Amino acid sequence: MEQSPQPNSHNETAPSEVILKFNSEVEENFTIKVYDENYQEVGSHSPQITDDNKEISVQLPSLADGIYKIEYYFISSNDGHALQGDFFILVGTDTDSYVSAEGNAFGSSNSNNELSNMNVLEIIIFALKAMYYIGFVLLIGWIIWWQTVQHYSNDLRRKFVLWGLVFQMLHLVGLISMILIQVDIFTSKGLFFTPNFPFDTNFGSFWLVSLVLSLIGFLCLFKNRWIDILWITILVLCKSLNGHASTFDFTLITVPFNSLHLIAAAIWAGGLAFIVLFWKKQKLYVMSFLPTFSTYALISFILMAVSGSIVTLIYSPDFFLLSNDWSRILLVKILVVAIVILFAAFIRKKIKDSNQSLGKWLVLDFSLMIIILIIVSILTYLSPTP
Amino acid sequence: MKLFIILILLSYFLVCAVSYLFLRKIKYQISYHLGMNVAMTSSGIMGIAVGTLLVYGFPGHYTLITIVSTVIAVLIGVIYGALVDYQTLLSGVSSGIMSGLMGPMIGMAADLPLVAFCTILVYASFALLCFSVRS
Repeated sequence: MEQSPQPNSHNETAPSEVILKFNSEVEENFTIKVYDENYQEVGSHSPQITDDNKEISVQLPSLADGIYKIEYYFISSNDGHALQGDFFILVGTDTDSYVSAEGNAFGSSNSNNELSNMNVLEIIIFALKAMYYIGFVLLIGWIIWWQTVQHYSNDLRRKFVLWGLVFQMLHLVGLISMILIQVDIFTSKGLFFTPNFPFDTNFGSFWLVSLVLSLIGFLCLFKNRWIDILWITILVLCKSLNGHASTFDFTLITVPFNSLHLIAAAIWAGGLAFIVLFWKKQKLYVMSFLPTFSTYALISFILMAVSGSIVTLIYSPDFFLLSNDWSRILLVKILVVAIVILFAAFIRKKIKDSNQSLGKWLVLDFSLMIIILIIVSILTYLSPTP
Repeated sequence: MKLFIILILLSYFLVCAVSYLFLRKIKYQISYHLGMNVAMTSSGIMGIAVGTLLVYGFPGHYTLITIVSTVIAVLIGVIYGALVDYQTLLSGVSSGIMSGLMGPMIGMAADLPLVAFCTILVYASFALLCFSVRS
């Protein structure tokens, strides 16, 4: 993003407008506010946006000498991520007061979503996103494993479909709540949506498709293999196109790799959930399922490692510098994944030794999977760029 | 946003219908005591949630929405109550009347987080009802 006037710049003559330029498109709903040293909003004209939605500007009145704070809040058209920030400018010739005023009158400047800036609503959205991601990954994995489980006993199949309904509800309620809270956060920042919403925004359209798919899923899932595959494909694509993957230059690479990452994660999570949920009452079936799961889980982990590494390098080539919250949280995720791999190796060894005392290890593995999904829900909210 | 509100409303009815079909299959396991809870909880939460959601989405139609939400809640109480017996059905009706009238009042003061909370309550309540027959 480029700002004019430059952040922390000294302008001897008062600027006539504030301009923000972006690399990618932003939504037409945005706010730019200019405050003086007493934190009184300076009356400015209505903000404008260019036809390509990559530049927003606001005309300023004649500014007296002093320090001004410019606050902005906008939404990325690609993925619906909100970005907020502020910067200071000095107008006039008195430079002595600038340093003290920057720190004291307004507080330090910031940009993008960082964990330290979160309010209660944004903490709630983490919880709801976690619910959504857990429902999303478990549901997709559940549908994929249905192709194997449908050959088991009638009783097991009936219970499997019942749990499928539970995951559908978890996914749906997570999605609805996440949309509502996110829209509320947008409106609380001064953004108002047009009557055409969600059709006039990319992220709104993807939300809508996901919501409709989720509702249709109650009627059509677990009945026909091809319908299941089509349903999963559309939902995963919607998720990939509505996330970080669509905001970077290499969309043709990031979207397929992100989709692959999600499906691999779903295979692992869905299989693990099946083992844990049916361990006590259907142990014989689960024991026969374990070697198959173990092989597919290993393949899934390799795919996740490859796709995750590529996508991370595209999102944030300077990831190793740990310069923002996104990098640090991702590091935590990698550490938890490393623990999961250690557990998985241990469980595989026990399976080969035909050891029956696997229950506790599987529950531990399942708990780590939930922790990873919670971390992912936080990662998707943060911006990978410093 | 109205489209989202309508889809959310549809999802309430969907979860209500799925829960009803599940409970109907095992209705002989539902005792009088649980049946009363089933009828009152389902009609209560649907009356509150439908009323809140509709008034939030369409604030200019308060009276009509109050009537609609009350009728819907009473009907749901009747349908769920009928799984057990006539007296259980009456519990569902009384709970439906009360919640159908209260829901729109909450809706007048509601914001999006409250609508999200209502949605979570609807899903959690029906999940609890279905789970309660099994345990």
